Amino acid sequence: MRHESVRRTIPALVLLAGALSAPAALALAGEPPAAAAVDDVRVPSSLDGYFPDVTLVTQDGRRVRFYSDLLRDKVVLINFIFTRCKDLCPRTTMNLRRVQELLGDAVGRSVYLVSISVDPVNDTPAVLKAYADRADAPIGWDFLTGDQEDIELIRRKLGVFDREEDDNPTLHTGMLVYGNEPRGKWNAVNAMASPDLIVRGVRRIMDQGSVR
Amino acid sequence: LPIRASKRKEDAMLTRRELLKTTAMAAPALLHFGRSRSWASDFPSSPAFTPFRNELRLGDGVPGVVPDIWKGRTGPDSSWPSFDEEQETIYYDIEMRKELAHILPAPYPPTLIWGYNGQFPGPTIEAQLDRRIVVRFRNNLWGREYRMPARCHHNEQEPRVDAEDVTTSIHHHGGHTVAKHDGHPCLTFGPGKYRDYVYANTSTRGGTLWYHDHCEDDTARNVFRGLAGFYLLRSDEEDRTLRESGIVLPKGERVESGGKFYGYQFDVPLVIQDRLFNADASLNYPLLNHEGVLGDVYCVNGKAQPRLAVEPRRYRFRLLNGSNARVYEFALGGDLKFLQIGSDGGLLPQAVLRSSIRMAPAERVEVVVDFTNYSDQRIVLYNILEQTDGRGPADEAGGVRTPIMRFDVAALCSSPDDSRVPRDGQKLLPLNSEEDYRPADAVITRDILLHRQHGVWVVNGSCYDPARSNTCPPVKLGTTEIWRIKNSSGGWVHPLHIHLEEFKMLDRNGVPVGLHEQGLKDTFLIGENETVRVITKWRDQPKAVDGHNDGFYVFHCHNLEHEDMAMMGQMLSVLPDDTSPSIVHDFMPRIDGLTWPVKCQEPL
Repeated sequence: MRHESVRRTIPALVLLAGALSAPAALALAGEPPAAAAVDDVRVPSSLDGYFPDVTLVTQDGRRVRFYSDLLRDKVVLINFIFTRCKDLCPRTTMNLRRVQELLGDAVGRSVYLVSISVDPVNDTPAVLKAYADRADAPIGWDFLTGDQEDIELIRRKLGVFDREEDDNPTLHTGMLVYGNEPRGKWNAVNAMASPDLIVRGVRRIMDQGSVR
Repeated sequence: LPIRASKRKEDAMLTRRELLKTTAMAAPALLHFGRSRSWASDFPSSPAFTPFRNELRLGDGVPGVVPDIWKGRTGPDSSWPSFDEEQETIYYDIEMRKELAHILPAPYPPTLIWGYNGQFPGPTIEAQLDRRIVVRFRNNLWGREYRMPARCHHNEQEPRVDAEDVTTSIHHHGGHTVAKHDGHPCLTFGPGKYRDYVYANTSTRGGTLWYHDHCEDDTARNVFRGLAGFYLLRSDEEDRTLRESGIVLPKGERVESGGKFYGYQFDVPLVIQDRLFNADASLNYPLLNHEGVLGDVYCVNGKAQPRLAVEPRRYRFRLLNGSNARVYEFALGGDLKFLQIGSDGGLLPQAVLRSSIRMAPAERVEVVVDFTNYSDQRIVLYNILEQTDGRGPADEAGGVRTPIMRFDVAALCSSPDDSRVPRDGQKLLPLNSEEDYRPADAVITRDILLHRQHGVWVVNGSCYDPARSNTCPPVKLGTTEIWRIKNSSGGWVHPLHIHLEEFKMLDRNGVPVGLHEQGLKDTFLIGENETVRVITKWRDQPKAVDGHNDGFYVFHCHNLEHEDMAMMGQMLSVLPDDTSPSIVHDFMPRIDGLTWPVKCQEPL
C-alpha cells in the first residue's frame, strides 16, 4: 500500500513544490511515512555512474556488463577468488555457499552472487565452470573472468585493495562487498564472517526502504 | 596523486591568498561528480567555504542540554521502567529523526542529517555520578522524501530522497552499564520502535562520556550522518574534594535561555568531526571506502570550522574526537598551551601542560586553556597531524597546520575569574581506588591481537561473530585483569575501545605511559607494531535494583569503518559466584533478544 503511494508521491511532490512559494523548513512527503520496495523506486545516489560497465565473461561463456547486467536494479554479493588459491578461497566459497542456502529462493530472483577471478589469465570460463560445479553453485551465482585491467578497475572501485603490495592476489580474497544498487546502499564484511551475520546484513539492506 | 591533492587542500587553508583561491574554485567543485575515480578511497573534495564564518554560541546553539521529562520513584507511566527506591530516577525522551542542520556557513543550504532530537550533534545528556537516569530513545528515522526550503540552492522542484529506514542501537560510551543497556550491536531497533536505556552512572568518577549509534554493520554511516552526542557525568562530591585541595576548575554559571539549559559558561564540550560534503551541502558518505573515511571539513559541535567568543579567562574544554577514522594532534596559536586535566574516564591524577595533544577517534581529553593574557586576540585551534587515508596518520606531527576553530577573545571579563587550577605536574584528583589497578592482583592476562589477513581485519585470527565469546574463560566480575593488546597489522593504527569498564594503562611496548595517559581510559590508540598493556578490576553494579554486569559486551576498533568490517570481539562476563563450567556458558543466552548459542574461542 505504502509502496504504491510513493510512486505517486514523487511526481505529485514535484508539482506541489513548484506551486508553493515558501514551504516549511522540512516538509514531509506524506503521512504515514512513505517508502518504497527495493525494486520499485530508484534513489538518486552519489554512486550513480560510479561503477564501470566493463564486459566480463561468465562460467558459461556468456558476455555480461558489470554494471548493466550484474548490478543494476539488483541486490548483489560480490567477492574475489582465484581457482589456484588453495588457502582461503575454498573456505570463502563454502561460506558463501552456506549464505546462499540461507538466502534460499531469493537467490537468482532478488539477490545475486558474483565471484570474480583475480587471476583471469588462468581462470578461463571452462576452469570457472568446473569450480562452480564443484561448489554446486545454483542459478543466480556467477563466476566471472575478463580482462585483467577491467577486473582491477572493478576491484578498486569496490574498495577491495591494499595501498601497499597490491599485486598480491591473496590480499583481495578476504572481503565480501554487498549492495542494493537501486537504493545506493553498500556494505562490506569479512567473507569468512558467520553466514548468519552476513545474511542479516544482506536482509537489512534489502529491507531498508520498505516498511514492514 | 589524490593523496597529494588532499594535502594541498589542507595546506590551502593556511594562507589567506590560498584560501581565496580555494573559494574561487567553489563553482568548479560542483562538477566533481562527473570526474571518474579509480580508487574507491580517493579523497573527493567538499565544496570550499571561508573558515570561522560560523559562530558557536552558548545559549542558542547546538548541542544544548536535553531537558528531563520526569523525576520520580516510578516512571511517567507504566510503559517506563520503575525503580521503587528512595532516590528518584530522572527520565528523558529522545527522538531520532532526520532534520536539516546548518553545518556549512551561508550561502550553503542546510544539510539533511540523522540526529538525536534532530540535532547534529545530539543534545548533551547531563548526569550525576550514582544518580540513575532512563532515556527512551525513539527511532523515527524513516526513509522518506524531503522537500528543501525555498531559499536552498538545491533544486526545490526535486525533493531530496533519503529512502533509508535506519536501524539503530545506542552505545553508552564510557558508561558502566548493564549489558542490555550498553548498546550491543545486535540489540537493534528500527523506525517506529523505541528502547529504554537505564544508566545507573556507577562509574568511579565523573567524566566526559558520549552516546552514539552502534548498529551492527552500519555504525560508521549512522555516526557520520549525525548519531552522536555528549554525555557529561558530573560529581558534586568530586568538586568538593578538589576545592578542599585548593582547586576550582572553570565552570561559571548555568547558561539558560527561553527556559532551556545550554550548559555552563566556562566548561564547554567540543566535539570535532571531519565530514565530506557534496556540492549541494548534503553529506557525502563514501560507502565503498573500507579503510576508514576521512573528511575535509572539520566540524566542531556541528558547525564547519566555527568561531567561539570567549572572555580573557580560564576555560575548561572537553574535547571529543567524534571522527570516524581521523587521528588529530591539536595545537593552539599564540604560543598558548593546554593544561590537560582529564582523559576518557574523568580527571587525571596529575595535571600536565602540553603544547599539542594527539587524539584518536572516540578519545576524550579535558583541558584548561588560559586566555587571560590574550584580550582582543584571536586564537586558532589547529590540527598539526597529517593523515591522507584511513590507515593512520603520519608518524610525526607538523606536516600540516589545519585550522579547526577560532577563539575570539573579548577585551574584558564579565565577572572575575575565581578558578584555581594546578600547575604542570601538580596533583589533581588521585584515582579513587588505586588498589584496583595493581598488576600483582591480576588473575589473568588476555592477549588481543589486531591483525590484517587476506585484506580484512581480524581480532585474534577471526572477525566478530555474535555467536562467539573471545574471552575464554569468561571475565569474572570482581577480579582484576590485564589485557595485552598488540597491533601487528603493518601500516595501520587502531583505536581499540573496550566496553563496560574503564582501564588504567600500564605501558606501551614496555615503556610506562606518560602523565597524560595515567587517568582512566576506555579507548587506546594502538600504533603500528605496538603492544599496549591495560589493567582493570571488573566491577558489578552496586545496587541489585540496577541488575548485574554479567552478559555480553563487545570490544572493537573505533575506526568505525574497521568496526563495521567486524574488527570486533565479544566478551562474556559472569558473576563472582558463578561456578558453572565453561561448557554451560557456551549455550547460555545472556541478553534480551539474544538466543543463539555462544561458543567460546580459545585464546591464541
